[in-house]
Amino acid sequence: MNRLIAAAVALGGLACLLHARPLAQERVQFIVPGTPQISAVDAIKPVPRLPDGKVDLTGPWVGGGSNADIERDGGLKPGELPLLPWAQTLRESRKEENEPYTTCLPMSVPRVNPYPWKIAMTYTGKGLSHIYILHETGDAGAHRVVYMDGRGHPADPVPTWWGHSVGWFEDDTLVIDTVGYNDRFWFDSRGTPHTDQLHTIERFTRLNFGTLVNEFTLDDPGAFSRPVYLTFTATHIRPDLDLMEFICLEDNQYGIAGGFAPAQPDR
Amino acid sequence: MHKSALLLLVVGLLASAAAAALPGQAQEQVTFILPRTPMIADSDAVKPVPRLPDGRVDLTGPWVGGGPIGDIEREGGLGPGTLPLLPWAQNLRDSRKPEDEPYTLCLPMSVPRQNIYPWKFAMSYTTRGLTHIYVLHELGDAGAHRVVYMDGRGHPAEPVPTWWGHSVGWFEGDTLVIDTVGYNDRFWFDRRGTPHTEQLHTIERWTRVNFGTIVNEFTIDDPGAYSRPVALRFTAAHVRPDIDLMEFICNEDNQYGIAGGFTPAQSAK
Repeated sequence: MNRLIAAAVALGGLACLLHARPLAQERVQFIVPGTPQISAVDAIKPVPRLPDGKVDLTGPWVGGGSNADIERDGGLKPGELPLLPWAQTLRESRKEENEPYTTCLPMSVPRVNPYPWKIAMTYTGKGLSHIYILHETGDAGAHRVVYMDGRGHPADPVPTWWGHSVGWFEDDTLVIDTVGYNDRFWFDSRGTPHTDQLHTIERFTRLNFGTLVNEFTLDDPGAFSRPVYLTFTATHIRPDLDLMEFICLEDNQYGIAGGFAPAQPDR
Repeated sequence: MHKSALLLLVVGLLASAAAAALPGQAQEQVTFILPRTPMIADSDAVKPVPRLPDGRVDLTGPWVGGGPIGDIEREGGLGPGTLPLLPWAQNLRDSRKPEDEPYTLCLPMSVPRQNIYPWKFAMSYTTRGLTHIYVLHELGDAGAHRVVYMDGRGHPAEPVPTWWGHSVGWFEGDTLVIDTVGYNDRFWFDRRGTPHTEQLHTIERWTRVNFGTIVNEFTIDDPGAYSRPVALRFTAAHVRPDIDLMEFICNEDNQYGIAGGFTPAQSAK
């Protein structure tokens, strides 16, 4: 790591936030360098394995979820996302700058940003009992927990930003089933909404060293007329790199300095 | 998880912030009921240290304690006035007010600060074995995750100063040693405002004594703010083994920091 890279990442963070600004006259030009990606030669290498033989899903990855528009990013055509009328109206009324994520609140599932994230495969006395999903903008939403110890969902989960996730392997595919979400985060910067009835199923399959596919099922009878199937693909970053520290809240010129306080997001 | 349990945690955080309020403004203080995190039973605490499937000691936790909260000098085992702060650093500590602590704005508390909520060591494996240990706190969005590289790398020659610094770790027997440099000077060691500089170098030696207890033998070496290295000692206790960290988003509705008129860009250094 050197200071140039850190500065570039910091600028990238600002650029990402400023990108949401609708007021063209207030825009500032930033150079957003791409995160260094794996080479094509390394990407097609075999899927690595943990010492106990399990598939290694760690990454770090870039992509693999929605960012600007879950409909388009997930492989659907314009208008195909089966939003109920009230949800469509809400999406159209939302303004990008009111997204909770711009005030360093969690982006949650399946949203990703242009920064790397990883699947931390974590062992305890009971084996691979927890997977944590860690993002480079780590303080914006803490860590996500996936219980791998065989437990089920609680009967009446408290609605939370990340919900309650349980996971298991089907051969080399990691399946993550999540309920108990709150309705505060947005699926994308377009404002696609959901309710606290949201139930998601992610099926993560590492195709080769450099590629991870997320077959994503969105089931929310509160906001969608039927379950939706989406596909996202993540790419491995250059293998010698790792997540950097990025404290979203340290000097967020978009959120707090712009007059948006986290307690007042548009819902 | 139960709704009342979640509510109690929220109340606990507010109580923590209120306890740090100005002593001269007692009329503004509100009394909160502060329930304790459920802790391990005495009979379970003395059980043997658990091990991972590959035989390595399991340090996971979740733990409560193991670092300072109110006063690093007292909580680390020193007598009053024996922390060898340089005069300028002592003056800075005396001038700091608890309500200006960056942590009250949901910024990272960093090393070795603790709060009253659980935290854990996440022992994460990759193809190359136990290559990363993450330190995760229940107040997770206040400071992201801390990374400890276990893959044998060294520190960078010129680390970018960061809140968590650059940590490398290794095992000496069953003791996890964590060596960290590259800290920034923005976080406080405690609510009292004990400072440090970017020259800070810390060494943690974590030893799980039995199922319920882990000891942190902690060395501060910071020639910028201290006249000599300091050896401190903290002890953490295991939470009740059937419970885990909960989600707590500090920034969601922080009535102390933002609602109180403090913005992170203006925190006292």
